[in-house]
Amino acid sequence: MAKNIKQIAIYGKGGIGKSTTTSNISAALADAGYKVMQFGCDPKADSTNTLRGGEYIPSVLELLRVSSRVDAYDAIFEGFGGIYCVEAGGPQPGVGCAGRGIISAVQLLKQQNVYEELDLDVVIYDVLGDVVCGGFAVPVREGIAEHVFTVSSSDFMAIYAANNLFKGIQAYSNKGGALLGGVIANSINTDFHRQILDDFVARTDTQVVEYIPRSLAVTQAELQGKTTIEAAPKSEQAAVYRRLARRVAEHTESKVPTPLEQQELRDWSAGWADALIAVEKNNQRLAS
Amino acid sequence: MTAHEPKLAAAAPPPLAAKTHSIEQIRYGCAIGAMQSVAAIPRAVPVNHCGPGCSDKQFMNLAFYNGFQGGGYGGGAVAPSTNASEREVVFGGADRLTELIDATLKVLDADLFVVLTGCIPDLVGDDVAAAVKPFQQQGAPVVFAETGGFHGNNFTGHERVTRAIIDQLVGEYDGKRVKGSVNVWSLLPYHNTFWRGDLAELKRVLTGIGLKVNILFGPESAGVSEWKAIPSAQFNLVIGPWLGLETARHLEAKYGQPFLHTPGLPIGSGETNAFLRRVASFAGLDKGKAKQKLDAFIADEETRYYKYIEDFTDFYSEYWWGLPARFAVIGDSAYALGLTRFLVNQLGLIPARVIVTENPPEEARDLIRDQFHAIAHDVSVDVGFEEDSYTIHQLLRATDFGHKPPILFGTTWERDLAKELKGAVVEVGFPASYEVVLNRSYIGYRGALTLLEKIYTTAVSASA
Amino acid sequence: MPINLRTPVVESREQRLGTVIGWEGRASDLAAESCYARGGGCGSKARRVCELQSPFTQGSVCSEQMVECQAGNVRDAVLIQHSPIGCGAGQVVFNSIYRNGLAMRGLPVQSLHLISTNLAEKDMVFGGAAKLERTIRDAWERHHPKAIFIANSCSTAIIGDDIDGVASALEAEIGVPVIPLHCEGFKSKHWSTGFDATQHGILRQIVRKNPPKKQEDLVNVINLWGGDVFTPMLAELGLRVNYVVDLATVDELAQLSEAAATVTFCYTLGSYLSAALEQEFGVPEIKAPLPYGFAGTDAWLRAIAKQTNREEKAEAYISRERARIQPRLAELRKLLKGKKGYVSTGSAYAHGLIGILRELGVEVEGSLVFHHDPVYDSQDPRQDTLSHMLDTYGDVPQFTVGNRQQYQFYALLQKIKPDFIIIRHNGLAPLAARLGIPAIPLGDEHHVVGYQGIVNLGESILDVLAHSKFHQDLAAHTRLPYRKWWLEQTDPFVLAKEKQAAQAARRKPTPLSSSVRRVTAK
Repeated sequence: MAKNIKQIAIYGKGGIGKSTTTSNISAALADAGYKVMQFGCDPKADSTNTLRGGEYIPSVLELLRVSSRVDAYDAIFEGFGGIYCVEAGGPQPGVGCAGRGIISAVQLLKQQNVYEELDLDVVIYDVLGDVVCGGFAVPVREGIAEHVFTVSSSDFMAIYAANNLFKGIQAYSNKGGALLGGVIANSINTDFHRQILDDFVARTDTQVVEYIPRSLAVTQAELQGKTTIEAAPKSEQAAVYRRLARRVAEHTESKVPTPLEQQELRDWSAGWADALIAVEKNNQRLAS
Repeated sequence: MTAHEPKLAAAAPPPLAAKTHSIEQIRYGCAIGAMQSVAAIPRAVPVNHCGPGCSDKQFMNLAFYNGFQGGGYGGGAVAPSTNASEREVVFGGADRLTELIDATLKVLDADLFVVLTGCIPDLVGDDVAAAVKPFQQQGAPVVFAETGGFHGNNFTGHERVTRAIIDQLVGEYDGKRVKGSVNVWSLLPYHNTFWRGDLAELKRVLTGIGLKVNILFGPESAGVSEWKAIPSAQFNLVIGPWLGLETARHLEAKYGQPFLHTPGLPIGSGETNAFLRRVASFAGLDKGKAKQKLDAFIADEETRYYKYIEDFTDFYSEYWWGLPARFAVIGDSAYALGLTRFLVNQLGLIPARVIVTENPPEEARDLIRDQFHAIAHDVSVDVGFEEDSYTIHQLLRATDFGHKPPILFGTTWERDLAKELKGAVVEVGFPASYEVVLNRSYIGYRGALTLLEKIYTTAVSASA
Repeated sequence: MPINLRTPVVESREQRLGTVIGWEGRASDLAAESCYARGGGCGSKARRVCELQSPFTQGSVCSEQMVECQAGNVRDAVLIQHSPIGCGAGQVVFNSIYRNGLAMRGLPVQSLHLISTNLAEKDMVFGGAAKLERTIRDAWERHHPKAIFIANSCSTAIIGDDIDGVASALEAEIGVPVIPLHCEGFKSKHWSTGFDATQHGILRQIVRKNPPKKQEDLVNVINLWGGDVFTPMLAELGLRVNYVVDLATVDELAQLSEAAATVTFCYTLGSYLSAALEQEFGVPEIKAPLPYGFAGTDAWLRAIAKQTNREEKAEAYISRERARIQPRLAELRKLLKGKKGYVSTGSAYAHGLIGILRELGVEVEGSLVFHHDPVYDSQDPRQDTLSHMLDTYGDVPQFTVGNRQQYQFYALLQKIKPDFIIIRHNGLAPLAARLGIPAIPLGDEHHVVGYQGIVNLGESILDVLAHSKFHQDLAAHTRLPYRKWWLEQTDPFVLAKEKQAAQAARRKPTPLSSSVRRVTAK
């Protein structure tokens, strides 16, 4: 292919704000003149909701379910700023195999040369962060995304999930898999939150790409079915997203992370829990 | 064991390179290969919930290019299959299965339908029980077993199938037991290439001593009615080192039915006599009139057998052009044990190497080893367990066969090796792609004579 | 639609060509519905033929099996089956075929070396990549093959084992091509995708990318294990044969890009490989009817001759051969007069066989093909074997497409009541046999190639007609496993049509909002 299409994958634990973050990155990039495709890899098929005003679009797997011959273009729809939106889709809860669904959906688009035909600059895979089986790791593999970012808050559960993801990346790193670009720190409102994540990335040999504060603007935009970039383009929050988007677009050096072992992780979080308690006690003392 | 004669032992296998899981030139199918166990029951049909190739693959290899046996009433190309596609994987296949069972009942005429699962529904987690239940509740003769390939081989699958039929079709029973009737659990249909003739011979000799036999599989079986009669039999008889034991134990727990386990597949008069006496004793047929019948039958068979052996002796003692002395056996434990005992004790051949290939469960291996250590009072074999043909062939190449050409009792995979070792091969088990088998047996009284014909026809053909 | 070799995963048949496995009607109708549309073009995507889907299906054949019989039959390569042991069961049948194939070609007979990774339950949960690595190393240590193929399976495709990554890593370690083939059974409704998967891997990793020389007298012949009829035939034109894929060596596969042309015995098999060789390596694909019957063989030879500048030799051969077989052909036509035949084989091959039968004067009122490709990868109407058959030999009124479903075969045979059937796959002949109808099993697919092939088929028919004594005796003593109700059905697709009607009534697609903007292909 003549043009080198930048392919990145963004992983995040369910509910952490990954789709919000990813959609805003896509919107910011589109605004900046890039040709973007956002490929949602979550069985809920709602990754690109805020780019299309919440309107229904058929997912790749829904199309495959009905017909054994699918034209990829039947699953690609234009959203805000001309962003090409695709949802992989997946089975209902409790049946089937969502992981295999991701494999099938990604393979279909790859085979039909759509990225080249659409003359894309960037493809962003938005992937469910609980990488529970092979299928969910497919975007990380050779020939798909080159860089992976993970969205995490300073909540320990989110950090655990990020650490797990690092294990997956490490496992694929010697087989041509994507390397880690860094952590997108979401819902960071205090210095304390910031410190927790800074410490984590220091220990796992990666970096924080951007700190995103919790913001009402985001909530308001979502309720309107829009990204912050679209609903409040001149807001502070939008500026943060634009900065993040630029960093992601210009990012070149990804690395192999060094995830913490189980015991290490427990010890590390226990240490921060103690620190958290100490801070709380101090605050209470100061308040009283 | 006599004090002054040392035990002649086959040399222990040489140490191998680090053991690998890889299997080259396979010795068994996977659990859904038990579709042929269903097909072996007259008028029963397997209904496979699996990918598009599984039924064809298991059938063509176990039942066609293995003795060219044919598929059976409902097996082979007849077997309904969901031929699962991407859709069934991603979205689940239970609906498709329901649709298939429904259509199967319309199209096929059978007494029993056994739904078997392959890798796909077992991985994806299809609720097969829920799909089958409505049909069972309507009284359709449908049962199901979980036989995804990764669960094990077709031996594993076989016992899952028998268990499913017992639990779901036969169900509860608290009626009387019929004295003198027996359920026979022996051999793996189709996989053991000569199973039809073998089961026929087993039925014949057991009937001969006065038993009413549920042979359960094959042309000599009455089909589903025998299966329904299982709980009313006096006892269960497991013939062979281990296959069928789990079933017998289950029947004991479920119906309080006792079982007798005879590890050796009886080949030849000596073995078959001993086998019949042991069964008779267990069944209480070794007293009074029953004992007379037993003795008469054995005497009659033995007399006939030795008439042929006697005539054969001219050849066996005088043939100029050399006959094999040392042998190797490569195959499943039932045939390996039965053959080794016969070759050693009847023919006086020397075991150079015996390898058991069906991956028997750990619990069974000690029994198997003990049986092989006690082949004869002066013959003990250190049996090997190996499934990978490459490794097996290495072992065979490293075996000392003495100064005469060896004879290998094995499979199609041993053909080239036999040539390499300048010996002969007799294909006795899966895969036997150079045998056409209808009702030929190699066991019991009659089968032993057929076996002798085969061995020595092979031996004399070499000189032409 | 150009073939995409940049991804390790081949596109399935149905995706690329619109392949269907259930259809019935007149052969001329099928040709009209197909992409070629009797001479018209079809743009970049093939037209969609309406497919009948039955709720009752019997076991078919899968793509992984075809990989076994292709990649597994490359003489100095090893195929690894990354799967639980069940897929490995296929080693038995393909071993037998391999040995017979070698014997037919006069090559040293040996057993094949397929190795299974023999995965168990815990590998399903924890992944099988480590075992795959070990098995690749075993394959290397044991056999030092010139290439290692890896076939994945339904199970490893579901759990998502990264066979591409493992293959790359091990290739770097060992130094011979390690080729991952994505051929899991559920990937495609028809097994011919397995051919495409094998060929895809070979094109990506074995075929010489910038061959230093071209061999102007070498013709690639894409076939299975057939006897060597092409060497003497093409030698008449001063050409040599490069048989692929079965029974070839890795070197012979590598030289695919050096040949002067590519032909095949059946476009079902060769479509992908020959189109890709032309597209990526500039090796011209011969676009002509297949070499069956007079018209087909004439056209095929002339096309090869034109491409390789050997027209004079070809004409000489053609007239000589035609004359040589005339006397026996005349006799055969007399002996076979009034006989009815029924073909049930793969698609393009069947079109050829029907033609030959009609050359012999045998009536063909119906036939079954296991699938139908509305178009081949070249999209070139000169390869439209169905139309060629129609134009040369006329229509076939009862033309059925079905993936070897035995239950359908009963009604089909009842309608036609042929004197014999022709097959190349298992499963159907046993049913015909029980109805008193013998089968000609073409284990050697080349038996019917060319001018001599017409005579060969005629002779085989005479042999097998005597066979009917066996079958009629059997028919009087056997019972089919089908219900009376089913045996009374005259339409083998009745259940499929019921299902179709029910679905049409039920289906209500979710409507797209008018504000949603679709994207169209450029």
